[in-house]
Amino acid sequence: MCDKELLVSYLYDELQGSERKVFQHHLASCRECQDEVQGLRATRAHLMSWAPPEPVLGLQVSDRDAGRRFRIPAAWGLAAAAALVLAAASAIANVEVRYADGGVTIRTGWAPEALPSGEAVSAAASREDLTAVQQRIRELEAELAARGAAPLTTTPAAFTDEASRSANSLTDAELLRRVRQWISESEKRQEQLFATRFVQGMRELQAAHSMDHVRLEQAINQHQGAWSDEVYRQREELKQVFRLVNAQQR
Amino acid sequence: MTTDEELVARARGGDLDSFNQLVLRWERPIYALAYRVIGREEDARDVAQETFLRAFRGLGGFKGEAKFSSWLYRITLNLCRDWIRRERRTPVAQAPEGVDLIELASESTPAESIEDLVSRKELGRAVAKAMSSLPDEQRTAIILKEYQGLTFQEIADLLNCPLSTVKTRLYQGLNVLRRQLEQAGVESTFGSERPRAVVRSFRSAQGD
Repeated sequence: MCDKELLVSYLYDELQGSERKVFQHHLASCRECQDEVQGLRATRAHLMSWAPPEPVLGLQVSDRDAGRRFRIPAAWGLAAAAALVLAAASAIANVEVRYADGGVTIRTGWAPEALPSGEAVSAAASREDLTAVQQRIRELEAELAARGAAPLTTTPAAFTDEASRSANSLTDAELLRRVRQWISESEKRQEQLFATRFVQGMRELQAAHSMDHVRLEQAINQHQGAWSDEVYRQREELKQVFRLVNAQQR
Repeated sequence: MTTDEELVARARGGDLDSFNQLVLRWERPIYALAYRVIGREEDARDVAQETFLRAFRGLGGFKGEAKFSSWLYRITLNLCRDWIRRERRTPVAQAPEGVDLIELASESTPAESIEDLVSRKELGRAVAKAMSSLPDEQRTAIILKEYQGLTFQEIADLLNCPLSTVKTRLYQGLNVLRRQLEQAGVESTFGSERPRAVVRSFRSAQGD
């Protein structure tokens, strides 16, 4: 009777000294085992054709994965998060558009929307709001055009009232209240997840913010240029009208 | 080169970089093991990731009585077992539909003709199919031996079973594979460089 355990060990070259000799001796005289060894060697060779796909792995364990040992203490995490929220809020508050002296003030208005959701601090949100700002600028331009030759000196004041009503609705106290509310809501979530997401969000925000700032500035310059040309043209037209009226009155 | 054991010791002291060196060293074997056991790329990736997370969290419980890799393999196999239970299905090796000759050509080395490459891919598919038909114990034993290169003793330790059981499972599994591959038209003569039968069947499938 053939010892299949020996055969398998022989097949994988795991037979030592005497065992190996014993099996080789048996193999020399056993046709069945010879066939089997040959057949299974071929099978083993075929098995090598089965390769797993080559994935992009790059697995890494990070601090946030580390569990309790490396976990950021909850209190510190929250304090840091609060500081980051305030930093984000002030950074956002800086995104405002001013026209002329005491003229139009436009805020992005996305701070009050972005904060309570907790996840909205992202590049997508800032792009949306840039679009909103551009939209508002277009509206103002349209309004200006619609008013046509109306006395220019009164127009900026009207715009200021309208625009700053919505923009100033977010007072510092309100902002703080919202931030506190948001933090208390977020406490219910996993602190770990919260902290990492936030840091990630902040990085994205900072990147998007500086980029949007540049684009916003470009947009403002463009519009301001167009606007002062328009003002100049209208002023010249008005002068012309006045001259005509004066000439007629004489 | 720094040994696994040295890296483990440093990682136990809280050095994340050392642990990530271990991850870099073992991610492919671990992924390959998971892929061959459960047969799905995405899930195998998840299993590999989870393996390292658990390993990291459980480093305190790793006393070094086994090799670090064996310990990892054990975690992976447990996760695979959970996966199979959860999915309640027999693992099926994922085989891509059809063979893209252009893709194949770009992979081909100058020494290997397209025909060889096609036959190797086809053969790989036949092997994956045959493997998926094996009972779990036999398949696991073969994967650990053939593809992970463990010794019989290591496999026995890993699977908590006697040495003779491991050998029996391997012997039975290999014989099933041999029969299945023969039925699939793969020549079993050792030394045949190219399984021509498979190439023929591939050509006829292409309407050649």
